[in-house]
Amino acid sequence: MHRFYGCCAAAPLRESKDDSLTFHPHERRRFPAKAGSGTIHAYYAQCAAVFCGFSMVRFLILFLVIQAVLFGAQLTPWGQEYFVIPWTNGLAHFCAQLVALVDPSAIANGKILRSAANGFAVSIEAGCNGIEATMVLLAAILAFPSTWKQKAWGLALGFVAVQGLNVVRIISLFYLGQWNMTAFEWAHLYIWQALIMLDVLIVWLIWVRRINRSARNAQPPEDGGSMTPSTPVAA
Amino acid sequence: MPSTIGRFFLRILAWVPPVFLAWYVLVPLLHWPIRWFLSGMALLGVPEFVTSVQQTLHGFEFLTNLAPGATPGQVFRADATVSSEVDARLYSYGTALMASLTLAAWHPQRWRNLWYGWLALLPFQMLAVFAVGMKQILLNSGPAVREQAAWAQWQLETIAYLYQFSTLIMPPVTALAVWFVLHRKFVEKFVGADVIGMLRAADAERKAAHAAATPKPKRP
Repeated sequence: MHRFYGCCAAAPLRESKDDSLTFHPHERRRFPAKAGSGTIHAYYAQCAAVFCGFSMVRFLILFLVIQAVLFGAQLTPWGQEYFVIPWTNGLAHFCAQLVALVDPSAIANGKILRSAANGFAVSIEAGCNGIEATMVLLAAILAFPSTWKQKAWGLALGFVAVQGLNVVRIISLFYLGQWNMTAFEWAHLYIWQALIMLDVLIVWLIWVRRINRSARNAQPPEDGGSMTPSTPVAA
Repeated sequence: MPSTIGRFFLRILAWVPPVFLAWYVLVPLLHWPIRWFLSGMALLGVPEFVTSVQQTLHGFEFLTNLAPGATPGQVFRADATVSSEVDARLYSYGTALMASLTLAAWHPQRWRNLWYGWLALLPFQMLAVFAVGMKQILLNSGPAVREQAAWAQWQLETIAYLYQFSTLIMPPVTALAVWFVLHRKFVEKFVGADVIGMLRAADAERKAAHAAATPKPKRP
């Protein structure tokens, strides 16, 4: 018996002997289709197959579209007011509190991290708040075929990794600027920009490795999953 | 070749300083193709107000035939025109990042990959420099200059978006993407499977599911 799942690539998944369905790890869980809707589903499946014909192209298009949409959304006045500015201010305060553990002269004012001792200050602008790097990771994870659960934990861990490194970036730049402005410019404009995106790449690769492992672990053995005893059973 | 992600990351960190230094020295040479492209566009009159593009030590200067508007506190000659200088290093450091990754991976064909990577990144860098130049001329030089250029609002919005995207996302992301494509087999070692192969497998599953889901036409 075939049961159709959802409209995208209506999938009759592997059937076990007791007619219950098993999910492939790469397949997203879908709601079962209602009886009698096979024709509509077949039509949708056809549309999906045409659209999804080229896996790599599909991934790249999805990656670019998600990224462009998110980037555009955060540029809007609404995105700036309700997300980017509060996030950046919170980041500045968090960094100030961390720095204050060893240097009590550090204070935050809005998105500015300042040293009360010598007056040096860094302003956390677009590109330094880690939002863009997080968006790139988000787009890469959402575009890659995996279950929603896998996407969720990938995003959660990736978010922590990217934002954690970004805090290190801001604090290091804060002290680098007090030491040498040339070194600050270099690190700010080139080195840290590159390292943050490198972090995104490494996190994404680790995530893909984990989902690949879990997919391999979930696959049945080559002989179709039958339990063959290792020693012959006496008749 | 590094055997683990940790070692690979350490090798990248080791390569970043010398490679970025070399890139910084070679910037005028590496930017040459961008100059040809931008000069060619200016010759073709795209956009119509740019008369020529000159290469400077670290970037490019866009010369236009637009007159500067009245600016409080500034007096211009009657034949003064607007020009804009773009520091292209801010948009081309992806070349150095891609080179650091390539050298850290130490692929047998690393020199070929460096060459291909540089070529692949050039169009994005050209686009970024163009967007930044247009943004400086049209959005930073005042309303009088904007009126002379007579660009529609949506064109200005596009330039503003392209400028932001080219500055914040494009340089590192394109570098990583190009490196990834050129080192697919190397990445496969870390991931434990071919990533593009995984994408294809997911696609094959969809196709198989589609084939099974589509009802066969009945014979008359």
